[in-house]
Amino acid sequence: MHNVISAQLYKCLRTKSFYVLVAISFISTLFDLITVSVNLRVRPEMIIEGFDSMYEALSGGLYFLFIGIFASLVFTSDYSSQSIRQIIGKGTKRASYTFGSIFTVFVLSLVIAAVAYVAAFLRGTFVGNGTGPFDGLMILRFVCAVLVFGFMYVSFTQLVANITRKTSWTLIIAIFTASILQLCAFTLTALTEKKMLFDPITLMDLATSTSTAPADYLFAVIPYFCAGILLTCASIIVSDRKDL
Amino acid sequence: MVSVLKTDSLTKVYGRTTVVDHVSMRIDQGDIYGLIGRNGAGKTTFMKMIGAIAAPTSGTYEFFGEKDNSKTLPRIGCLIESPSLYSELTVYENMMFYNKLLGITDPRNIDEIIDYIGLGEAKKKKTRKLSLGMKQRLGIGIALVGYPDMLILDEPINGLDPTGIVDIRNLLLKLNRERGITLLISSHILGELERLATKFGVIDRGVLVDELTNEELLEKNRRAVGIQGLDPRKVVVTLEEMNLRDYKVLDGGKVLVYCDTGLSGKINRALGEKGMYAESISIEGQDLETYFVEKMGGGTKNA
Repeated sequence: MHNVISAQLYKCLRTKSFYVLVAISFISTLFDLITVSVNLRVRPEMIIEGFDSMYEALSGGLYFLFIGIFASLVFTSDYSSQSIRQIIGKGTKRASYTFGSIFTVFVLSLVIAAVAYVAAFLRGTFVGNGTGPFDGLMILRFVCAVLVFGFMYVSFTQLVANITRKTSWTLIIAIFTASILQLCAFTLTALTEKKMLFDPITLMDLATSTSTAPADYLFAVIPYFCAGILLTCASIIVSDRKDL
Repeated sequence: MVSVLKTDSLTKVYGRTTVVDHVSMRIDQGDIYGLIGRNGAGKTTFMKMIGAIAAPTSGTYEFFGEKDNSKTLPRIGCLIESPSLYSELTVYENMMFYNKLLGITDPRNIDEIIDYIGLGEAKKKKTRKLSLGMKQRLGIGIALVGYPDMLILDEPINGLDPTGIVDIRNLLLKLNRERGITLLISSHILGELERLATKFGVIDRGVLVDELTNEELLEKNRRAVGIQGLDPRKVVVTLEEMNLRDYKVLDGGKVLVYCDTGLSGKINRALGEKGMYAESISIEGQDLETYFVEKMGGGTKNA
C-alpha cells in the first residue's frame, strides 16, 4: 500500500487540478470577506471572529464540493487513462490500490480544506473582531469532524468511481450527493427542528457547540467513520468483482 | 526449455458467450509467441486473464512455474489494447509513477528505459502531445519498468505508419535478443508477426485451433512446384536428369520440387518430352496469411 500512496501522491502533485482547487478554495473563502464587511457595516453590533469564521466554513459545505471534484478527478483518471490495468497488471492488489488511493486523496483533500479554513480564519480575524477565544478542545472536535466527514465523502466518491468508471458520472453523483445532503438537512431542520445524520451542518453544530456532551459528539462522529469503512469495503468488493 | 507461461484449460464466459474456451498453451523462455485470430476471437480476453485484469471463469495459468500471481506479476509487463498514459503527465513522470508503484527508489532506470525505447528527446513532453507511435513506444516502456522477464503485447503495431512499425519491430527484437525477454504478441498485421515470432498460435472463437513453430511455418512457406497425377518414380527420374534434387513425394503421389518456381514450364516440357502429361502443375507454399486464411476456413484475411 505504501507504494500505491507514493505513486498516487507523485501523480496528484504533478497535476494541475490539485493546485487549481487549492487556489479556488483559498480565493473563494477570502473573497467571502465582502459579505463579512457588508454584514459588519449593516449590523455593527455583530461579532465575527477568526475561529468562528473557520467553524462556519465547514457548514458552508463548499469545500466538500471541492473535495468531491478533486476525488472524482483522481479516482476516475485511472479508469479514463486505463492506467488501472497497468497498476493491477504490475501486481498491485486491488484492496491495496483502493486503500492507497483513498488515503492519498483523503490527505490531499485535507490540504484543500485546510487552506480554506486558514483563509476563513484570516478573514474573520482581520476583517472581523480578532481571533476570538482559543478553545483547544473545540479545535480538536472540529478537526475530528473534518477528518471523519472527509473520509466518508472520499470513500463514497471512490465507490462511485469504481462503479461508474466515468469522470462525468462520478462528478455529477459526488456533487449532487453533497448538495442534496445540505438541502435535505436545511429543509428537515427548518420543518421539524430535527437534525439529520450524515450532514456537515449537523456535525458542525455538534462539534462546535459548547453545550454538546462528549458522548453526544462521539455518537455523532462514529457513524461517519463507520460509514467511511463500509464504503471503502464496498469499493474493494466492487473493484474485485469487475474485470478491467 | 524453461516454461515462462503455462495455461491449463483457461476459459472465460461472459453471460452465455464463451469468449475463451479451454485454452492450454505453453510459452518457453526466449520465445516470441504470435497470437493470431480474427476480431473477437478471444485474443485480448486471453491476454487480460493472464495479465490479471480479468478473472478466468475456469482453468489455471502459471508464470515461471508459480501459480500465485502476486509473486510473478511484477516480472510481467503488459500493454493491452492501448497504452495506459496519464495525459497531464510527461513521458518521464508517467514512467516514474510506475517506478514508484513498484517501489523502485533509483530513478536512473527510468532514463535508461527512455533512451532504450528512443524517447530521450521527448522525455519532458506531455503524453497528450505524443504521436501514436511514440505513445506505443512509451506503452512498451511502461511495461518495461521493473525489468520484466516477459512482455504481453496486444496489437502493439496497430495504427502505426510503416516507419513506426519498423521501429517497434526492431525494439521488440532488441528486447528479445539483448535482454532475453519472452514476448507474447497479438497482431492483425500477419506479415509483421511472421518476421517477429518464433512460435504461432491460432485462436478461433475462443479455441486455440493450432500451434506451429517458425520452422514449421518456413517449411510450409517454401515455394515449390507441385506435380500431380503422374507416377512419382518416373517424375523423380526426370527431375534427377534435370539436376533438381530437392524434392519430396507426398502421400497420394504428389511430387513437390523445391526450386525456382519459374522452372515450372521447363519441368512441364521435360515431362511432356517423355510422354508424361501431368494432371496439374501448381505453385505450392504458403505464408502466414494464407496459412491463417486456410485455417480459418478461407474467405477472410482479417485476423
